[in-house]
Order: sequence, then structure tokens, then C-alpha cells
Amino acid sequence: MPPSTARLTGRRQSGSTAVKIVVTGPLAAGKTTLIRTISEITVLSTEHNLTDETRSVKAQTTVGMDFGRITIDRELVLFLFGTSGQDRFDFMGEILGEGMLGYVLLVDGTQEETVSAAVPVLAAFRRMASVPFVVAVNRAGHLDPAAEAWLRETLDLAPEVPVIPCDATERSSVKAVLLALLYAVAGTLEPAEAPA
Amino acid sequence: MRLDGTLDAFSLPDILHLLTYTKKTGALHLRRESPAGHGVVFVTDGAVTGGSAEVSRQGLARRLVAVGDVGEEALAAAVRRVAAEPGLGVTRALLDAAAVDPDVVEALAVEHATDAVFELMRWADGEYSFFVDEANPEDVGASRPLDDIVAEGRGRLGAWAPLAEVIPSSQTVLTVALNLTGEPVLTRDEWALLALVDGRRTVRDLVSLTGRGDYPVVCALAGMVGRGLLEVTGDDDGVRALERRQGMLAALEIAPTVAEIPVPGLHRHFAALGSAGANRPAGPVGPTVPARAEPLRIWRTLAFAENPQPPARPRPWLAASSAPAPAADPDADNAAGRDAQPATAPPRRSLIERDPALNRSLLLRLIAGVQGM
Repeated sequence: MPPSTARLTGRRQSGSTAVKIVVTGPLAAGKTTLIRTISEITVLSTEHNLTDETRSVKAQTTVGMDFGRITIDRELVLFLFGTSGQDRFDFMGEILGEGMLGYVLLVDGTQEETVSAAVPVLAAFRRMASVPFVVAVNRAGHLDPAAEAWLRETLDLAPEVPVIPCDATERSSVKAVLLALLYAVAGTLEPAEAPA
Repeated sequence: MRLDGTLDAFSLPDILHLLTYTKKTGALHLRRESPAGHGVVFVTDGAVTGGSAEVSRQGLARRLVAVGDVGEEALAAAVRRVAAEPGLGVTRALLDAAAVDPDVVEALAVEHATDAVFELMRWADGEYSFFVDEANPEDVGASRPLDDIVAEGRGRLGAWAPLAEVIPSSQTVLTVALNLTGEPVLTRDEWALLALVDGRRTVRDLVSLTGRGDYPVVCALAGMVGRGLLEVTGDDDGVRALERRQGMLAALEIAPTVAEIPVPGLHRHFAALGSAGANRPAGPVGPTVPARAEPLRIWRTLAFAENPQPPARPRPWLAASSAPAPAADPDADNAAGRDAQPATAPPRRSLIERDPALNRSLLLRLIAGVQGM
């Protein structure tokens, strides 16, 4: 991908606008579940290990991506893309991240190691994108202050980055995560950007 | 020795077979005027060691980059070296620098040469010239018997016609299908393509972005079209048909004004944007997570309450926050995710930045839409 900036909003040929939110995080954080919970449609991709000699070099690891869609209105569609969680997310992340509104970093609240595993994921996205993000802690009913402080310290989060406990299997909880991200995006708008 | 002629008199497979039988080493250049093109096939002792359907492009390096096995710094160093050393290829430079896996490169080189020969075999006319002992700048040690490549090219030519019926031209545009009949299963290559399909990019764009040849890309796209994952855009593709039909219903509906939709919590964020936020009903500040009767699992680090000091931060990828930010990690920045850079830090342009078209109206619609789900 050339080092050029990508545009957020995609004007589809039919005239509707599509925006994209990326859900990323370490393996088994619950990204697929989160997207399935909220999406009108869900496409789950799981790679087969190919036996073809030529392809085997490139397909030694299972790589997948989740894709979801939320129709906002007749002219606006929100796409959700979930990264694979594999080590080699960088490449796919760049593809997925092109034109994203913001992203959700998902970690598992019952598995501390997923927070450490999220560090390189977040670092890659920070390098790649200058867009807002939120951190969602899956399988966490609530976060006590010490746990949140540890998470913020580990992920090197600025105070304004929302950290939200969530249940990826619960629709209202996932909605809250998406709304938190949209609010975070709203918070980056300058007054001059507001329409009259 | 120089061997040259025109393709209408002597086809590419014929030329390649001649080179095979005579165990030649060198470069076979093919040129045509309409559409303009210049391809090359490198042979060593009758075996193909490389090739490109368009020599003006860094075809093999693009393919390598698209696979995701090249770091940015290593690539930049290789590009600088190639610019200073004519006759050296980017992939070769990356290999010399041990920046890429030789096995991966070798496999890609064979794949790239096979694709190149196939694409050159599709040329109906043109001229060829063989230059003995011309070195392959991207010689990475890969080779494949020429007979194998020609045989595969012939097989692809036979398969091309039905593929072309599905994907009519390089200008064809595809979209992701709205409705699926079952759970799709895709290969990584297919997924990489699917992620690039956006209803605007042409097949040619996809070929360029992936660094792969026409055949594997068209083959994968046609396969996904056949399985109902992708649709060739047109008046009857799924998205347009859905929009057209929903448009019929919309004529009976009264579209609410977005600004009139109550958005609890939004006023905090839009307070500085104008007076519209004043119309918002009073409510909780910011997003809230719905209360649950029974909390889910509690964060396992509740024990921290007894020891409120956070543990040592594992930061193998992040620089210490006490270090000067630009020097510590100049690339690690985020609009909402990092402290502000010092005033002296030069503004940095991320690969992906927010679109200036993003505005409050769009966000209001998104927020209202998500809340209304």
C-alpha cells in the first residue's frame, strides 16, 4: 500500500455512503462474537491450510477476518471489520484500516495476557492510523479502578481514551462500545467542522 | 547472439521451446505498441528464472510487499540501494540484506514468472528479442522448467475463456454480495482480495494492489462470484437492487430529521459545536453500559485493590513514557490515544487519517442509527 492517506468515507457508486469501523485485538478476545452480535450479516472467514506447493509458503497460518454490516439509513452504511488476531495482522490491518472511522481494541477481561498481547496490536494501529479508538474489555461486568489503571498503564492510554467493560455476546453492550467510539470521534471534531 | 522477430510469425511458446532445447541463458524481451507493453522472461540453461509482464513495474517486489513480508525500513533501504546500483532488483537487494525469507521469495518468484509468461502468451502481436547472457536483476535462485511453465500457460489459456465470461474485462468492478446462502469459507488469497473489493476498484486496481498476476486474481474473483460472495456491479447487483426496492418504500415514509432525533449523552461532545446540542434531553454524560442484574466475570486483577501500584509495564514495543516522545516512538501517535506531542515536534502524517468529509451530520446519523438498533 503506498504511503498515502486514505479517505474515511467511501462514496459508493450508487450514491450511498459507507463508513468503516475496525475491531481489532489479540487472538480470542471476542472480536468475531462482537461483530456477530451487532451485525445484520456476518461473514466469517477461516483459512484452510493449503497443500498446493506454491501456496503453502503463504498459507501456513490460518488467517481470517470478520465482516459485518449495519444499515444506518438508506444512504449510510456502517461496516465492521474484524482483524484476524494473528501475528501477521499488520498487512491485513492496513487493508482493513483503509478509510476507517475509528477502531475498537478488544481485550478479554478474564485473560490478563490478552492485554499484553494487545500492546503490539495497538502499536501497529497507532502507527497506521491517526483516528480515535476505544478499548473494550470483554467478559468484564465492570472494571475496578486499579484494574483500569493497570490496563491504561500497560496499553499506554491517554486519559481521554474510553475504556469500556462489555459483553460481546450482548447486543446492548456492543452498541455501547460502538457509541463510545462514535462519541470519541465526535470529540475530535473542531467547531469549524460542524455544519451551520 | 541476438534472436528476434515478430510474434505473429513465431509464437511465444515456440520461442520458449527453442530456448529450452538449446539450453540458452539470457533474457527474452517482448514489446508491443497497442496496448503498449514491454515484458521479459529470463532463462538460464533452458529454465525460467524470472520474468515480468511489464518491466516498468517492480512486479516481484510488489508481490512480496503485498504478501506482507517486507518491513518498511528494509524496503526503503533496498529502494535506495537499487536507485544507486542499476542492474540490481529490489527483491535481490532485500535478500542480500536478509530482510526477507528466501523460501518465500523463491516461491513468489516462481509464481510471478509463471504469471508473467501466461500474460505474455496472451499477446496477439508484438516483437521479441533474445539477448544472450543478459542477467536477471531479480535473480533470487528460483527456477522452473520452461516446459512446465508453458504447459501451465496453455492450461490457463484454456481456462481463461470461462473466467472472462464472469469477469469480462480488467475494468470490471465488483461488490461484496449482500446476502449469502451459507457460511463462506475463503482462502487467505481470496480474503486479501475481498478486503480490497469496495465497489469502486476495478480488477486492474486489484491486480495492482495485490501484486499478483491477472490469472490468479481473476480466477479468485470469478470463484467468489460463482460462490455468491461477490457480484459484478451493474444495475441488477444486490446493493443497487436493494436500494432501488427500498427506495420504493421510502416514498411512503416520512424521513425524520436527524437533528431532531434525541441522542442522550451527545450534548457533552457537541457542546462546543453549536446550539443544537442544547436541544438534547438531559441525561447521563457520555456513553453508558447498561446495568446488569448479575455482573459478568469480574476483572481478575481485582487483587490489585490490595496493592494499588500497577505492575511493571510490559512494553517491548512501546518506548518509556518518560522518554522524549518523538525520539521514543515517532510513529506511535493517535488522535485520541496519546498525549499531545511537544510543540516542537513536527507534524506527522499517518498512513490513514481522518477524512475531512467527516462531519457532525454524518456522526449524528451514525449515532442515531446505532442507538436505534
